[in-house]
Amino acid sequence: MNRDIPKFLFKTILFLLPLVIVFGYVEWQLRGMKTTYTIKKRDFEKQLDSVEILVLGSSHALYGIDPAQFSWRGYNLSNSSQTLYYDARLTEKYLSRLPLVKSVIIPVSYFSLWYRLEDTKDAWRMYFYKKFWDIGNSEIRVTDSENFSYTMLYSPKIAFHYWQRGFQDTNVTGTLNYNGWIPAKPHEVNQLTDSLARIRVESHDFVHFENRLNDNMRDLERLVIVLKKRNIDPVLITTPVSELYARYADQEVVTKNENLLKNLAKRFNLQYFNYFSDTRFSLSDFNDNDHLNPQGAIKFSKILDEEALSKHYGNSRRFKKN
Amino acid sequence: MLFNSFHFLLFFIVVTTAYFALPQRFRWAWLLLASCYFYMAFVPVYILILGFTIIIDYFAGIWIEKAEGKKRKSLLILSLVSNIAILAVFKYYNFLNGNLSYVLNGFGYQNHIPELSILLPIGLSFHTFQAMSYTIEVYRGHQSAERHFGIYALYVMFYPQLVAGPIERPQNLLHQFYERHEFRYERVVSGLQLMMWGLFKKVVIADRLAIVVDQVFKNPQEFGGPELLIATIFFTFQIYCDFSGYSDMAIGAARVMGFDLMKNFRRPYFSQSINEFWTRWHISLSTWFKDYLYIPLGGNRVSVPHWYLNLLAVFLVSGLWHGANWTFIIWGALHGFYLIFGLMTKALREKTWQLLKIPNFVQSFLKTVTTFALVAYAWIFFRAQTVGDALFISQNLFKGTGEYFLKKLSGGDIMPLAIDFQTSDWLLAFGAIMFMEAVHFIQRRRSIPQLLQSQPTALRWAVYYAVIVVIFFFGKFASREFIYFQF
Repeated sequence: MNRDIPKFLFKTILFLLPLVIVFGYVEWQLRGMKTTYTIKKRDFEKQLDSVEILVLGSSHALYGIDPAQFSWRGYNLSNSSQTLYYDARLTEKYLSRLPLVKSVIIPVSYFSLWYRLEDTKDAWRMYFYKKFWDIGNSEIRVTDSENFSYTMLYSPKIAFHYWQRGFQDTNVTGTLNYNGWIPAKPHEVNQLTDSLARIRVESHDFVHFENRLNDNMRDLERLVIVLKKRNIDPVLITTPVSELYARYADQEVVTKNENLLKNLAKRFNLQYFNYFSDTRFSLSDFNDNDHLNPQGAIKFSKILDEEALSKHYGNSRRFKKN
Repeated sequence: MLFNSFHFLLFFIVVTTAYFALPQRFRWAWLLLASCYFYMAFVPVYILILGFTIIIDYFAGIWIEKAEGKKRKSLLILSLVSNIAILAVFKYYNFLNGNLSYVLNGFGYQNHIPELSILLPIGLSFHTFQAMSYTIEVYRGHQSAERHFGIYALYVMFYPQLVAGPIERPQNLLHQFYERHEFRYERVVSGLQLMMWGLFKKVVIADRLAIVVDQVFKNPQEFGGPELLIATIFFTFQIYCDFSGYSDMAIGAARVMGFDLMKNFRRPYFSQSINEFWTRWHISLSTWFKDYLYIPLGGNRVSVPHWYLNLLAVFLVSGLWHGANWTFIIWGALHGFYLIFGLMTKALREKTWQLLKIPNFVQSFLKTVTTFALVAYAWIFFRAQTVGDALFISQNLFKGTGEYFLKKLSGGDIMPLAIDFQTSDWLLAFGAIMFMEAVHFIQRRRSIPQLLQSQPTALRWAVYYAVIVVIFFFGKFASREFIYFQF
């Protein structure tokens, strides 16, 4: 046998040993950590029998809709960067186990119709849906490291950050309510500035892909059809943004969004509520340019309850609050 | 399959281990099989196109060798036309058709030729040029025709350099497939070092800079001078780190298995002239053009105007090789112009340097900075989506830029840059570029691997650990393709 082979193997093992030990330790610790995905799955599955109003959507709904303000028992199944693709599949996955659900609130934000999770820097979230909810995505390959390793799933940088914090559960999990809502924590620096609004809109315009519209509309229609078949009311909404954000938003996109959703609502006889530039919301209701703060979220949830739910179902059919 | 993926890591370990475990007579077949799998991991069906060109050039090589006189030349032309035709259909058809429509519309006619909706096979320009160099070398008598079909297929398909080069010559690569490569510790370590360095350049630098570059070049009209200038400089480093990073990984992967691929980059941004730049940048392509286009056109052994025309022609073709878009052609033309202007003013410039009596190191510095600026300016056209975008960036590159940086330096009140890029990313981007250039600076006099080898094991391993940690923690692993894959 070539003498160089055992020499190489010995040195490689010696070199990799510390890395393997550290990696193994981090993997073991990460495996036990809770995230919004694991907690939401656990909590939601406990409440399947009692949920009457289901809220889907991205961070705009996650921080902006508190089901406790509804007159019916609700659960907020939204998550950061959750797209219509995942909204549709999550709902389909649980629909047969939701006997009481009467209405599903489907938020469609400024950018929702124009991107897929895999187009963004949040693409890593695909693996969380796969790992924890078993919802696949054609972009996930069998050989992707995220399928095998929690360090790669969270990214080494985040994993290191968690290590520094003693592998405590993620920041948001501490404030995650049993009904799925997260009251947004105030930012250390004021986010409600003109320049940050412009940057925020630009970051959303950056993930605007015309060719994604058809896929997203198909997912939205798929969701609506599935719900309608079960006599569940889909309610389309556009969540509020700050006046600064609205100022920089591309008006053509805003109008297109509204027209597309109005047409869909008309075609399937749905309710659609557009709160994008709703003057009932002022800067004091926002945590940043497109996320409501807890006060704004409560206000918005009450408006939703009044306009999208109570008006439709009537006060007489109200159940006890959560 | 990208070099910066977990998929490739598994592939590389399996392929290399099996390669050394297999008897010599099976190794070529194993490498060919691995290369097919590697290529098919992108778009499987395109292996048929690759197979078609391999069959044509395999037989062309044998027939050219056997033929004599005019027949020999006809066979070469037939082979070259076949290769170029494939390139033309997949790469240039829509471009030519679009331009035809534009011209016909100008005369009030309509173009009824339909557009083709096809994806460009990955690395098409690279393996086509490598295949063409084989038939040309056989025709010139510098290389005997390869009789072993499998070995010839492997010459075109050898996975480390299949999709983005280096574009090899048959004299350098073909014979290596017949040689027995023993597992050599030093060689394997050297290959792995080079792969690690390439990965660092790709995932830590190039893909980080891409965040800024993509934002600005997507909609340049939405940005001011400072952002346009930063994005231009960032792209200058991004494309170097992306492409040279790929080349390093390709050369390193081949070296681990005992193969020597040609060097593709030699610290190009230290060049003191555009002429020198082209002896240091994408060396395998620039020498390809020199050997197979520039010299056959007459090179510099013709009248001066003819010589300049030859240079311009080569750079226009080089631009077109990179992509079917006017932006690439203008990029090529700019480099051609730089070279010609450089030649025309060479005597005058040398006289001026002598008259000004500027110390040599200042001269070198000024020449390097000027060359860098000219190259960076040309990259605007290379990266921009349209000629209009490139012109807009050119016109606005310095609009408010000086004022911005002066205010920034003096701590004045300025608008933040309209780029979504975290502070840590700015620091890492600049830090990593400085580190890379420092390594390049040292490399001018000493070889880094040799320098490392002369250090105690503990220090050497500490350096390896540090680079691995930086790659692991600060690398961007978002499966971003290498820029040169599109060519």
